[in-house]
Amino acid sequence: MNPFPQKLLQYLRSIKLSDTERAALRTTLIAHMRESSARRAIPSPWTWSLYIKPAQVAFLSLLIVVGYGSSMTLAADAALPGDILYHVKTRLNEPIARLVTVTSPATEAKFETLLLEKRLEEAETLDTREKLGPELTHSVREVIREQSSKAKKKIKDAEDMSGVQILSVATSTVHVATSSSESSFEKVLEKKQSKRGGDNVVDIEKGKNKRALKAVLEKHGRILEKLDLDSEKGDTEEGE
Amino acid sequence: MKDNSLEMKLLVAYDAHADAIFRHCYFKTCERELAQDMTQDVFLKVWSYMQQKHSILNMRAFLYRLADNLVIDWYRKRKSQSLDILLDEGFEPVETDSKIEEQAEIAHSLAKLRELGADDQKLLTLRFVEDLSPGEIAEIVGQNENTVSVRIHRAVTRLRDLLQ
Repeated sequence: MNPFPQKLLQYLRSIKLSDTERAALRTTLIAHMRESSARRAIPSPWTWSLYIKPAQVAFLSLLIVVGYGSSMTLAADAALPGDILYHVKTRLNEPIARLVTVTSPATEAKFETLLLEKRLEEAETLDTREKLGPELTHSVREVIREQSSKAKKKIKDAEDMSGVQILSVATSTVHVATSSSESSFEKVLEKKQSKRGGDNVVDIEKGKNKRALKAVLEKHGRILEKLDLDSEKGDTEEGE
Repeated sequence: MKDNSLEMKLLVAYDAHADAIFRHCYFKTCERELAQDMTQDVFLKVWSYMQQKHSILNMRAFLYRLADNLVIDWYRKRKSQSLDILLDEGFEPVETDSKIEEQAEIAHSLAKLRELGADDQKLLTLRFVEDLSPGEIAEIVGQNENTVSVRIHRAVTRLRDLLQ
């Protein structure tokens, strides 16, 4: 039984679209249907994105980030001073490598010396490519000085800890990078050896380190000469 | 199903239910143009839904549910308009040429109807103005058919009490 008063019911039922309104809405609806059907006929190249799940999106994003990061890191490894990625190499790649590699003062000294070698090689590459302008020479020189000081300090720490002279090649590299002079290196070496005593040991060590020194000079002599590290020597001078 | 048959299906539904959906929206919004827009939106949404290969079991109930959602969205945006204002602003049928006395009687009945809660008003108009079955109303309001029948019965009793 309908509880609505008849007049109210009639009135409510009289509310409807006018013929014009109904026809206009119908036309709009048909136009929309045709348009969307036509649009659907040309599949979008991005429709796949509607069907992938959030977990897949997250995984893909991670893959992209890791992939991008890895390729950038790899690309940065070959960067030279003055390149955009050089800072990625020195401020990201190498600190991470340091964290992974360094387990003791000896490995730390070895690592820092290795970095110094790298810096020297970079300078050589720049020189070979004739990119070593005055400004870049100055900054490369500073970087090598800084790195050799760091390596020298680490070698000293490692020697203090172990009580023996270690890493003759490393010591030579550092010394060459800071003094570029065979004679001053010998003086330092003798000083160090005499602290420990024993002529035979001194001779053996001296010979060994001399060979190492020659090898380093042979390898990096040209660039060291070019960089002329002696000319602006400051805090990196051997102070012992 | 191809687009042509979908179009036909939707146009049939439009011809059959456009007025009812418009009335449903107009009754709640009191704005003719807005109700027209909502009616159009309802059918456009149905079309999108159909294109996504979703099946619609009860088209009529589905249309009302979409209309309800649109009205709810509109209420959220504009809380001022309601059935209360419908009377304040003079809910006058443009199409009819009712006399003043009749209009007063209608206004009185509407005033009684508005004393019911919004849910009861909705149940009663769907059942007695739109002639929907309790089963269809149950589908629209998302409740059990028996519950809806009981609620309609109680709403009828309340309206009768108010009208007496």
